[in-house]
Amino acid sequence: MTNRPEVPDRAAVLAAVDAVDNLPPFPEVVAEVRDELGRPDPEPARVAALIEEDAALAARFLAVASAPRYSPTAPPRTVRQAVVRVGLAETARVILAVAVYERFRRFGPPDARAFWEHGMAVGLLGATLARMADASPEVAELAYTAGLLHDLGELALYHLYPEVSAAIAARSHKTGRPNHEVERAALGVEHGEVGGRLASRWGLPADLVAVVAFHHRPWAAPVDHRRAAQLVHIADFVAKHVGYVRAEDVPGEDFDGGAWAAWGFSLDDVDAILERARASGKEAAAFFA
Amino acid sequence: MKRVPLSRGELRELAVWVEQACGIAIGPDKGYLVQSRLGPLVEEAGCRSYHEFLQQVASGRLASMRDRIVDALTTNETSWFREPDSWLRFEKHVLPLLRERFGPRLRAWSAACSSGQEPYSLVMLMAERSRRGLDEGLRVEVLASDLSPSALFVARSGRYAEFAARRGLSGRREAILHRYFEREGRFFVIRPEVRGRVRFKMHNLLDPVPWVGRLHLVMLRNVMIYFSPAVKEAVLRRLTGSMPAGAILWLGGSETLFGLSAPLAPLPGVRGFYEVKR
Repeated sequence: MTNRPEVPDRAAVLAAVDAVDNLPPFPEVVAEVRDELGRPDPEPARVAALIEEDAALAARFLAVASAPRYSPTAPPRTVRQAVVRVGLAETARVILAVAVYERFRRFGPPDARAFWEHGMAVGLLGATLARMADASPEVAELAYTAGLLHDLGELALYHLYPEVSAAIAARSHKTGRPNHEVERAALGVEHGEVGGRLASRWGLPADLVAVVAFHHRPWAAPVDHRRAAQLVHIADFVAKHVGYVRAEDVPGEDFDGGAWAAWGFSLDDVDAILERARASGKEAAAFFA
Repeated sequence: MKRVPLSRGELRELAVWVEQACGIAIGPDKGYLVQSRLGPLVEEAGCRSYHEFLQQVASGRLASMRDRIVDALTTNETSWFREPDSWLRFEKHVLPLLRERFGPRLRAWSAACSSGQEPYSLVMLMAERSRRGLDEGLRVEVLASDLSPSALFVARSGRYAEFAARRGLSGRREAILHRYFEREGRFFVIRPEVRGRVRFKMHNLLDPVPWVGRLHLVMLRNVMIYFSPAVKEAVLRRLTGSMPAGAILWLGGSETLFGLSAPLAPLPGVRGFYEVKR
């Protein structure tokens, strides 16, 4: 594959990521909702107003808020009601997922739903693992966000090079080798780095950029962000291992033993982790249903 | 021949090259894997260090090694009932001998179990024999360990993607796949009654044996080939310290203990099996 002329090299891929102007920007509403929630007196009405600026986003948010877990009796009639039902903190997480899905579902791999379902499963599980290990709420939040977005680079690669990306996925499936390895062999760069580059260009926070960039090589992540990268790395493996993975993707065959040890997990945790991974996957599947 | 040492710096250097050459990401915890997989290639090339080996490969003098390095690092040899002939020999000759020597309560240890295929194969074999009305009253406690948390995670979970689940379970063994696994989408999951029969632990073979009590059977197949004679002897000293006289060590089909100092002797007529002699 590396010898085919149509396959770009590392420099070409990174230049294309830097120059890509037909991928839409990261949805601003995510940061706006977060800013509102960061105020001393966050107001559901103001959060609702931000969401209502985008009709598609508002409709999807209402649909999510109508799920029995938020609305056991009757569905919310207004976005404001939905914000109250979901809760302010949870609203930020839901809006992130809904906004990126709405904006990017036409880009990236053909099965957008499975792609984002996997992302959300990793995000939810990452946050759960953080709580299992008594990490701070900030780390859990970062694990959720970075987990959701960790394969952003795949989305960019599919958008920029759909045929090459499809060939990489097929090769990965055929050989049983993880796609990031096949990408690096073919392109000289893997989707983690590509995603980190894109996230950085979008001005997303440095910790998020680092976790996205190093989720397949957490040992190489900057020290300040290494633990979060390790967590998403493990969550990615486990989510794939319980089946929340795109059809052509290969279930994770290996995770970094250093990451496992750094988080203090043991073999006795395996059953609990698997159970939580299944729950995260089900929740993610329900979210995008 | 002494095993070529691998320093952290060399591992980093190698990781950079391998990643550029074939995309495989090698973390700092993979020194053991690199040494076990690439050690024979380094020795074959006549290099005294990984640094020298890498320089030669990168400079093109050992260009033909490139594909072999990739193969060595990516080939996963694990399968169910790996080396089927060896399992037949175990069933025909070794199992009756163990029962005769130690009675109906046996303890077996799969000492480098990787993602669990070996110990689960043993449990499934015993279950199959039981279905055929054999081994009445016999109970084998199966212990398993490995160095890799990732492999043990898979082992403990008992979940295998289809291609891994089917390796070694074609032909006459295909019924085993249906009998002892449950299908879950693209995965096959070991049934709880089999899964619950194996106790897993993380363990380095150079450390003291992690189990209390005597071990009647130790499976150490295709692991020792990666060790230097000194390391082999140290490992064997540890293992046999937990094995009574007459207990059996199960090696890979092509392995021997020739030239090593250990209280073990080949089991007459049963290739790949050694018995503890005191």
